[in-house]
Amino acid sequence: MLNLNFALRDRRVGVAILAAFLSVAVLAPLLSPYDPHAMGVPYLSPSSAHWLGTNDIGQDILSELLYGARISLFIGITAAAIITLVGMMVGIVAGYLGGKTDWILMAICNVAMVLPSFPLAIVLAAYLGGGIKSLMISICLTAWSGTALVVRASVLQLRSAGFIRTLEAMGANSVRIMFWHIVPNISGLVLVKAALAVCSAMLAEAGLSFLGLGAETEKSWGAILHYAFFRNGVFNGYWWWYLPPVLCISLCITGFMLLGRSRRDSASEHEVRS
Amino acid sequence: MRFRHLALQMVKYTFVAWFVISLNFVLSRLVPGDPLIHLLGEADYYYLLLAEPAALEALREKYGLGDPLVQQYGSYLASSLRGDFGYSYQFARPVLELVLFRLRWTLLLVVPAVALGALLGGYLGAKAGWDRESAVGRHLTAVFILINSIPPYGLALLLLSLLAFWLGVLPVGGMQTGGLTGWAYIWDIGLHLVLPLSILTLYKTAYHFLIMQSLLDCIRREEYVLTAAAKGLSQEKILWRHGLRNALLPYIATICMQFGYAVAGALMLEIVFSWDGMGTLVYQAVLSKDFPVLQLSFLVISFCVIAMNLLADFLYAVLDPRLRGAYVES
Repeated sequence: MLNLNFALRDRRVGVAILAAFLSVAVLAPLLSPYDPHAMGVPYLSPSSAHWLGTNDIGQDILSELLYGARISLFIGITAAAIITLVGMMVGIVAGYLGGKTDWILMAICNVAMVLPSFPLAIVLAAYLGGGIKSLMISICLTAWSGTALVVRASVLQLRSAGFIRTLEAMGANSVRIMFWHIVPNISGLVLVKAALAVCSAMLAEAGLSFLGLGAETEKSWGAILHYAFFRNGVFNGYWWWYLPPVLCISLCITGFMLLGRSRRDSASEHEVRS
Repeated sequence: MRFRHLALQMVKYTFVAWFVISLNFVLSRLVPGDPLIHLLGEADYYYLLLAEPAALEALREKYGLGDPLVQQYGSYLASSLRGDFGYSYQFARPVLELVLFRLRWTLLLVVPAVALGALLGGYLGAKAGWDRESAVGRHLTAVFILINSIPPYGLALLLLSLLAFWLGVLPVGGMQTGGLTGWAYIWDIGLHLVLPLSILTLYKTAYHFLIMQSLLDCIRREEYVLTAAAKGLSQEKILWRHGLRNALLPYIATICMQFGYAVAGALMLEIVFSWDGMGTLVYQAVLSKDFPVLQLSFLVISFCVIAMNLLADFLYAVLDPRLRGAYVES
């Protein structure tokens, strides 16, 4: 347990986990023993031909998982990139410009904070129908607000810093100050938020797909779990069907969480030292 | 000062409530396809379209779907204020009645889980935050971080298959066996509640543990803690009497504001355990495209979250001596 605790503070563990998943995602066509959509004999238990058995329509579960890494990671990382970018822009503009702009942006932000994000995502996904696009919209719609608030708070501190005032006195363009001079100073914070945004985006995607609201034809880990549960894999004891996707989701999220946590830890140590 | 703050928050929440109600309207009108489909259900809509187009037109008149959008929005707002949210074609009942009935079962799951999780997580988190090298701090932090990265329904699936399927010690799902009355009925519901409630409690404990830990980790470095130690107070006394007291306010506020996430987690667990609360209702509504039910469920969950946020603001106004002091000064 002591080792586990130690491992959880080490960023390299997170990097290693994520590197493994990313290479699996990239190399999925080479690694997969079968086409994940090809049907065969259903409900086979693990054997040398099918390492993780087959599902209800005879698809190879190992191949499904390997290809699933592509979809799950793609949606998680893309959604997190959108969330972080939007949150950062809103936070910088609100914090730096202040006044009415700040008031309006923060009003929107406060509304987005209060809205229950997952139920909202369910409603949106149900209305918009399946597909990666509606999944993205549902995940991103309110998730940017947390990043925006944190970024705004640190921009407010930076605004009165000497180098910003000097730039202003020299007549630097405010767009240039915001995106050329402020961004590098908050990049550490933004990266932490980005890593955590991947966690929440992946969890949201898995949840929606588990409910059958994901991209219908794509095989994400959540979607595999959906079929494993709703086609009675659990009640028939087919552990090779529902256990691996749960492990993949959890391990991947642990990886991103470690990336975020350890970055924050090293950042705070840095603060203490300086 | 503190009443002004509360009033401002009230304005904010009224705005959020209006936004949620309006969002439901916009979604039902913006989405491609005839809005009547969402009111009648696909099966009835297509039946009428083929067999009795005249009846379909009469219904369109009745729901005012031929009117200009502004007028439709006005009557939509008015009927929402009256508590008329339409009719569920799937359950053949007014949606309000249906959703409020299911809400009780969800709250039976969420409220004890949040309360237990807050107490347990708070207690353990305080110990761990105060002394990083203590047994609690060393072992539980890692465990709770790991638990936080497993989706609740995923863990629920694993435990369900282990305890209910392989070992057979707990009921597999549902809320009751049926045909029982009195204490036997309550005991039976309790048995069905054990697994979903313990999983939700575990997640709430993990979350609140990490919150309390980081709160006390900051407080530990405050100067008044050093002063208390210099006065010769024991670490235990400093923690429970001074440290915890200062962490309590933001902690309680976090519990209230996290309520929405607790409900969201419960929704998924309900589906796994076929617990007949809001979660299964939402799932059935998604499957059958029962949009009136889906909309009102979202509205009711939002209102619960708003109410808890309001409670957090209210507690701040009442309990925070700084806000109280500011009030006296002004």
